[in-house]
Amino acid sequence: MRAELKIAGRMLAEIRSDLKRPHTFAHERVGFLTAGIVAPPSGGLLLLSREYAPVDDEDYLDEPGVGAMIGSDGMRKGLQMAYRARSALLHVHTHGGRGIPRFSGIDIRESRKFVPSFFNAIPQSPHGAVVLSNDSASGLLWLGPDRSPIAVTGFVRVGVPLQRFGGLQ
Amino acid sequence: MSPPAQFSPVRETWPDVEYWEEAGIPYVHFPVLRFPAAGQETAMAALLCPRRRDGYDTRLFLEQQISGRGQNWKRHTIRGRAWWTFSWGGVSADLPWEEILANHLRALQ
Amino acid sequence: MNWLSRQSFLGPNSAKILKSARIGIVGLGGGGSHIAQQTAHVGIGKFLLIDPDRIENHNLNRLVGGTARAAWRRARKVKIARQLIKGIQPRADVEIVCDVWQAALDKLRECDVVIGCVDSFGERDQLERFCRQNLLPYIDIGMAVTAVGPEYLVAGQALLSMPDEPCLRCVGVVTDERLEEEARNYGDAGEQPQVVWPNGALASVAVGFLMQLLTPWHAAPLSGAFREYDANTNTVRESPKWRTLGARKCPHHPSNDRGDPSFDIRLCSDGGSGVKRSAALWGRIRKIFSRS
Repeated sequence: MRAELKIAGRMLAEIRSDLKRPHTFAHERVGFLTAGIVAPPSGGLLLLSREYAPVDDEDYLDEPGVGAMIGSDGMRKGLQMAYRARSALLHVHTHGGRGIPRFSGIDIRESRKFVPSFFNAIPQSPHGAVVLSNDSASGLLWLGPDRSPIAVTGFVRVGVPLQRFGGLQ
Repeated sequence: MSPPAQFSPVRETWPDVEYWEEAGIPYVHFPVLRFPAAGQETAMAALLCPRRRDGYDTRLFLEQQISGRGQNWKRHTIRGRAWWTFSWGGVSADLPWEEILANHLRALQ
Repeated sequence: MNWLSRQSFLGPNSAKILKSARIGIVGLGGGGSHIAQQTAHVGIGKFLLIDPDRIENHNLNRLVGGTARAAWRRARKVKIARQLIKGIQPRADVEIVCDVWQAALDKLRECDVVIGCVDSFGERDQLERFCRQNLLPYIDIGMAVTAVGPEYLVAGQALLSMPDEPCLRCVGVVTDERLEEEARNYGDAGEQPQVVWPNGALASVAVGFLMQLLTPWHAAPLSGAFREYDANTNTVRESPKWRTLGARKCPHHPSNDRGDPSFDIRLCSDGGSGVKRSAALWGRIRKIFSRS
């Protein structure tokens, strides 16, 4: 199944810049991206970025075994942002570097725990996780709480210049 | 995107309606609205705009054109879908939303 | 030698990028016909051409590709543009829609860029809004001939409208007053005076935006752009309005307006086509029950 995520150029720049900020104890930063969805007649899903919100400093848990762990308040704020417009909710973090990034084993394990819970609040939309590099991205998308995730097949940066990158090319 | 108070009575009559917004303007989306048009019972998706836009105090948009009724039918795109609408002015935005709908449907009977 | 070798400065992969790009041109009259011709020359590979109208005798003063024979036969404007493109690139993928653009929303969504060459402010407002809601870059051109005393001022503008960046409303091209005035005429922009060379100048500016959007040739990328053309002085300049807007985020197209407000993943069975099939099936079931 084809699933493409389009992100406005200005927003992608904001996300990359936000995730670069150091945190007092967390090794990496996390944010939430919401998206509207269209099901084109040619098939697949088109995700259209709506809003981005960084996880607040105080919502990180001091968990040295992982890059970043968010508390329930952080998750709740993300869900609130998505709930208003029944948006898809995507957990975003970056691995830096160049090329298509890979989800780590911990990324996948943790995503499997929290993403299905997003459906309790917003059952109408798919939800997932995105990992960025400095010039590319990968994504996993859950179409239901009890289903295996599918890969985001491609990303489009809607800016000047227009760029296609990442995912399964 | 919380619906205003005027939406509740509409939902009581048509439970499957949805509240939409575009550019901050409220809309009521009827997935299937049944109404008499040109002397026949008709069912189609409809979108009621209970606020001023494009020089009209309020407006009704339909999935299809009603032949023989309404004047100056035009296509519009709202929230990514194409709609038909006709010229029918003078339905005040101060009325309850069910009455706004009834007044627009009267033009199609 | 490759037919695009003289434009290799656009970037090492520019020929491939341009060939794979699909552009939608809405309105194939005085402005759109110039854009169809230029984009075919520059190597765009896929076209969606939309216009419900046929050529008439009075279009011959400006419609590129228009001939006396075509006007006599009242040929479709989209067919004239297709012939023009195919004459330059016989293998170009050209899809035509002889209808209003609102009848081709799914096809427009699949474009990489949409270029609007439509007459009325209402149509321009709606088309830009559709593009913003679907995260499609939109390029708009428009011109007007205005009588001022004994003289005529011929002027126009071209806007590269990108998500979250200034829009037609931000720069003052679309206003509620103009929309209301059009509504009083039932959406008819009327018979506007038009001539070929300002359309050509504005189309060239628009194709310049398109090249900056698609290819990596320019060192200073734009976030958007608004250029004004003054045919009386033969000058194109960046609009002072654009400079005053600076880095302001557009307030007219809320990001939550993007996507289908009725989308429901639970109606998706499996696979890409499954999403649409299930939605259609669900719609039919609802209609059956609503009748009973």
